[in-house]
Amino acid sequence: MSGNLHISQSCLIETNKAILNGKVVFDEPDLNAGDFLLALYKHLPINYPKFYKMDKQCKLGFLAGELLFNDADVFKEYAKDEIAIVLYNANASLEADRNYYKTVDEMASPALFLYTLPNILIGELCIRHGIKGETIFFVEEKFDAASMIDYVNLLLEQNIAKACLCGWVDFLDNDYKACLLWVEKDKNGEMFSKEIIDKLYNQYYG
Amino acid sequence: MHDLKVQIIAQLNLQDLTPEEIGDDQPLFAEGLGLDSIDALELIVLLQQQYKVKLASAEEGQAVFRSIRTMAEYITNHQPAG
Repeated sequence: MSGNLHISQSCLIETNKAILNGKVVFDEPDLNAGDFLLALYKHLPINYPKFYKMDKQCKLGFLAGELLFNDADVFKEYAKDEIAIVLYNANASLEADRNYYKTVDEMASPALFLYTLPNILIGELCIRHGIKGETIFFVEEKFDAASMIDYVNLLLEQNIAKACLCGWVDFLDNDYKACLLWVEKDKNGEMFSKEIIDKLYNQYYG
Repeated sequence: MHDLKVQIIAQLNLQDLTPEEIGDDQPLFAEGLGLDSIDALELIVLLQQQYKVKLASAEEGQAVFRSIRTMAEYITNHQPAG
């Protein structure tokens, strides 16, 4: 069925650039990863204090979501339980796990423990955008567009969801990448195909 | 109050915030700094570790943790002598 599925919007955040629908919207080449995420947050017209509490992976995915959904009309035609989220990465929550583990010898930190699961990011996105549909977070060695197409197809074909936020969000050490796609049925946009998804995923490298 | 803000930033891992960005009377929870029940736990630990101050009851927490100023006043009034 992926023939009627289209990518209405796409967002890539990688190597200190944020790209929305193919256009660079933010570029700060001289910052480390953490400072880049903070600079991007401050660049956006939002005030969301909970951002400061998030681990870096959640900050990364949250910001990609903000860019993608900066226009509230994007998903107003759907009930909140008709929107699914399907995310992938390679390092689960290893960055947060390590930071939490450093605290265990003295006083284990509940604030850090909170982020020691990758699907916490999905929770943050659901809270922010009010999404209540089906969600899942896969951990795979590398990005596999075919696997994502299969799963999103299943959700939309069986009417488990009518639209889907899907993609890759991974942060470890100073290395990070978020590539989020907003996928709908019978809409304008690029085809939800392996070729297009791979092109969007790798667009930073031309 | 500046020191308390520095300690809260460290305890709650809010490293992207500066003490100057936290108002003395800004609400710490919900629409203010966005803290939640997990953070309340961290604040209780902070009071005990840094100031040897224990909350008399859970109900008291709501008033004590309203803002930096209310926390500072509680610490001043309840810190053991010496």
